[in-house]
Amino acid sequence: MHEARLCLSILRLAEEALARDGGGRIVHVELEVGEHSGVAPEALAAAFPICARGTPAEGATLHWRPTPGRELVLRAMEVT
Amino acid sequence: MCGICGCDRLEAPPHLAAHAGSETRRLEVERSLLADNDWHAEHLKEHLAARGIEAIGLLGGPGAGKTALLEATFARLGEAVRCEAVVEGDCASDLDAQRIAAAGARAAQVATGSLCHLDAHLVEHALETLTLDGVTRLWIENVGNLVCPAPFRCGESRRALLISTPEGDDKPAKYPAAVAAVDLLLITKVDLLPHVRFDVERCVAAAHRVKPGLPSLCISAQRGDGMEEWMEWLRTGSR
Repeated sequence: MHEARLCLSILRLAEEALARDGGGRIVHVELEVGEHSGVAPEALAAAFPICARGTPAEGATLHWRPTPGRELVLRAMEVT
Repeated sequence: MCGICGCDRLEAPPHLAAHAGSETRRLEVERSLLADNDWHAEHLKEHLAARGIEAIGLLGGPGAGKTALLEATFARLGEAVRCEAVVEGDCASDLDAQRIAAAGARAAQVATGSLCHLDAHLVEHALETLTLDGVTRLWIENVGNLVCPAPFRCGESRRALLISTPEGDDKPAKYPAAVAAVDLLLITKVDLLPHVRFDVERCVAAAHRVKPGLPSLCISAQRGDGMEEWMEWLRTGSR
């Protein structure tokens, strides 16, 4: 369940960024997933809607882009 | 790729407007999970150091003997066990925290159903439930797992990896990330060596292929082998 735990960390970063920008709702999240990060993007995508329940990102869509290296990066998001 | 419909368009996905229902604004966040954790870990380490506390991390698979090592360590400290505190990571139950409390140290349990590794932020929150007055050493007993915890430091200044003899001497070769993330290899349960197929030299050599010069100790928490050297490592390395 590594990806579920990582989703919670992503959501925490997302909520911090949202709060700094005046709040609202997150409707779309963009990630970069390093091919050596040990993260399965499909598992991340499956866990995301469940982890996002009850957060400002509930119902948000999720896109990811594979990148070289080890990092998992919250790249950008769309908010209303 | 899109996590909802599988399309490979990153910018302005066609279904986004339908999901949003109104005007959206774009936030460039550019934050790395690992870098964020490193920041929290460094902050936590400084915070602890300012209070005279060194944090030691224990990594190892389930049943490697992490809690047993703590019990044996605490038994050798006498009254000074009151200066020890432990953050316990487990998927369920507070069984380990009960063992730590019975051994005379303070314990905070982090237990969530889907937990596979601790991170610095989780540990910061766990510490809110611990009184650290008089504490000089904080143990971070990670979730029993040789994969997920490795890249996520939790404010420790040093980490030890436990590999028990029944697990097999191939573990450093199979889980190199765990070896790379630690400062000491502890081969535990060496009292079982006559009964299991485990070549100490082979295990250490495999670890050295990942991390040359990594110190190692053979210990048995139950019989006491290597405990003096382990206590010495704790004493001399503290910074």
